[in-house]
Amino acid sequence: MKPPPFAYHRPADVDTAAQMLAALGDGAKVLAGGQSLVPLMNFRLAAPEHLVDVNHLGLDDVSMDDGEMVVGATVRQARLLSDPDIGAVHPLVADAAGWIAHAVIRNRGTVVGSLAHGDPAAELPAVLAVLGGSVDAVAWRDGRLATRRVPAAELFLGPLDTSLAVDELAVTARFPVLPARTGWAVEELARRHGDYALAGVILTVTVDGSGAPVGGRAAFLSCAPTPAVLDLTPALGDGAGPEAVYDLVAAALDPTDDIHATAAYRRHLAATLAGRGVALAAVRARESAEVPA
Amino acid sequence: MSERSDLADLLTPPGAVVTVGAPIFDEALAAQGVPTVAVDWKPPPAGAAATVAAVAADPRLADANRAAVERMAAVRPRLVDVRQASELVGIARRQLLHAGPPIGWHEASGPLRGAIVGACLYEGWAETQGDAEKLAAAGGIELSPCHHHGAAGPMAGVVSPSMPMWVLDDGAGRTSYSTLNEGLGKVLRYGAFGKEITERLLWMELVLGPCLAAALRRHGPVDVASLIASMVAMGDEGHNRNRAGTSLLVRALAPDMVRTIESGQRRAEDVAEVLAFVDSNDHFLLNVVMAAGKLVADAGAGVPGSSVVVTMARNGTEFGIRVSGTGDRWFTAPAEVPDGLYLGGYGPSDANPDIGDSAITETIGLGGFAMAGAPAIVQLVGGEVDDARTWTELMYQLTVSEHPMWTLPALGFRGVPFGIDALSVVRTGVAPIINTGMAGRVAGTGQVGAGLVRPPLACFTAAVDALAREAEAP
Repeated sequence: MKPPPFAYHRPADVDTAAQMLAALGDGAKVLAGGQSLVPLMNFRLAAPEHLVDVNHLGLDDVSMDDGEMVVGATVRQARLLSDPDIGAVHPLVADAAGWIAHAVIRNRGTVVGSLAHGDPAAELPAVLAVLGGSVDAVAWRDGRLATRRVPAAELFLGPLDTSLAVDELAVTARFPVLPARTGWAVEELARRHGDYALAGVILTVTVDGSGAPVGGRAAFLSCAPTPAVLDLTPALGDGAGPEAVYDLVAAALDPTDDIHATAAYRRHLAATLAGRGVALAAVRARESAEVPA
Repeated sequence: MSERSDLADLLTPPGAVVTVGAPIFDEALAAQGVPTVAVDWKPPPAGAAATVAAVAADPRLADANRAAVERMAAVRPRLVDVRQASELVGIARRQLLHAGPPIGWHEASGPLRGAIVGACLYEGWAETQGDAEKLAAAGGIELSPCHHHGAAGPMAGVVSPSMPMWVLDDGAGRTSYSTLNEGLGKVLRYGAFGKEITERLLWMELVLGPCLAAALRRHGPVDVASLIASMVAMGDEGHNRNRAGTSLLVRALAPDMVRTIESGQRRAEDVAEVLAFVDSNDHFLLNVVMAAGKLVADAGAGVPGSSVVVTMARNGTEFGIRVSGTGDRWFTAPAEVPDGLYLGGYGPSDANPDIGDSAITETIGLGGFAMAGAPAIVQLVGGEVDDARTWTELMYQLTVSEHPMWTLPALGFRGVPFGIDALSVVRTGVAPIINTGMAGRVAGTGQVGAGLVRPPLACFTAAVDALAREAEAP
């Protein structure tokens, strides 16, 4: 398999890249890790006339800013797993990265690229959604570089569809770190390791000083056209257990049938995984706060 | 039509999923939140399929097993006397009996060696540990299994000529024997020896034995089959828990013990000491149950074509079994170390491999097989109360029958699992469960704990192999 013909552009700075995207319009796609775009081209499902390679713009930093972990456009997914500083600052992100496809894909695939691709079966969009993170995008408009911050809730519009305009380049993703006394869980089920999840959930649970859960939030993979975010708090009150979480999730999600699974099965699976994840996240929350189990 | 809707319902949730064998099936469903019933099943061990098939197809098998078990169930052991070993089990000077399959001094483990040393000191064959070891190592002590002499011995099972022994009969001419139980801790059967042990053995020979003998002879035979039925209903399993049974026996014998004082046969102080000794030892009845087991199990031996296990015994080095259809032949394999709870500061590295003839209790459906009726046993051998019931329920998979008299109230008065089928053990890969005491590895240590142990499956595959060679074609 090979892609249809295209023109390759390799800008050396962000301004030039943004100018190219503005000039090329609809016919251009941004090339970062290429782990989604290139297979789509090889399958002839996408046929951009121009590829703008953003691998040489110096956007490979991970830094902290105002309680958020800021990840540059060409930071590889593999780094989320291998960098001990990232694991210490944001264990949820590191955990989720381990569920992304396979090692060779993570070696090349980028964090921001996955967000810009907007696949509802992917882990990183759900991570950004559950944390209430955002993406910074730039565009060359009116003769200068314009920047805007797009919150996760406004970023994902549908399957492989985001609110990024054709001339916009996502340059950083911002992942808020977990608040105090907050634990997380990543639960997925796939037929084979590394396959797209039939359903999955990335969630957080916050406990009070006595270790009782007081809040929770989940984002589901493969259950809706975009990462489906639910507030789990109503199911975490006094006396509520995994059954309450199951019922809340099963009632709130509205997945559809496809060739991989029926809607009913997906709903059951997502609710089951959420119940399991809440228990794990609560344990982690208590550990992080050193409150009694 | 109703059958039609029943069939349609089969595929409509909620259903029940039963998984069999490889855990991956169960794990995959559990990951998806599907309730399952997991059946722990393994195919027969590699190489055993052909022999299992040959024995299973032997047209004699079902009738032979039924006959063996019926003979066993029909035995009504009676406790009739206490007499000296030299009069009973055909041992002469410098001969000792021991537990388990045949073994020599050089293969013997620590506790068996310790008990041999203790017996030599008690009999006056040696003055010191060193002398006794030298004597035994030079072949100066002849060793023979209890099982070859109509006896069953707990732990090391060492019987020396001067020891008093219980005498049981079946009312039809067969007899069996077992020593008197010494108590727990630093005792001969756990491999301890020395002054304390020798003094106790002498007291048992001179006071305890004669006192029990006099009382028993006055009282007349005690129906041990009924005694076992009562104790099983009262929370004993007859191996590591004999608290109710011990009390019932003493209650029965006490009036005649008192009468021996009046008649001048015994001193009041001796009788009081005997009663206090029994009161201090909840295992006192164990040896009686084992001798009863010997009568019961031996009755099942010698039925051609039968795969019923009639002996399970360990000598501290090897586990050995005998099967009804293969005569006197032992099938042995290295004994396992029990898993359980330890006394004081002892741990797993202090424990000797499995030892003792007391697995005769499991051979007749008691001990580990009757744990469902003795939930308190888990405080001694480890585990949860539910485990006790689970073990008994699992053992029904291995047995041909259920005992008609020994019933478990906790299981709706179901009879204990009775008559282990060696073929079922090999076919399922489930080994019998045995409640056992643990002896210290080093001679002289004594008891270090109690726990659960399984016989090595190799004993059973070897027995099935032997049955297969003699199997009749269908």
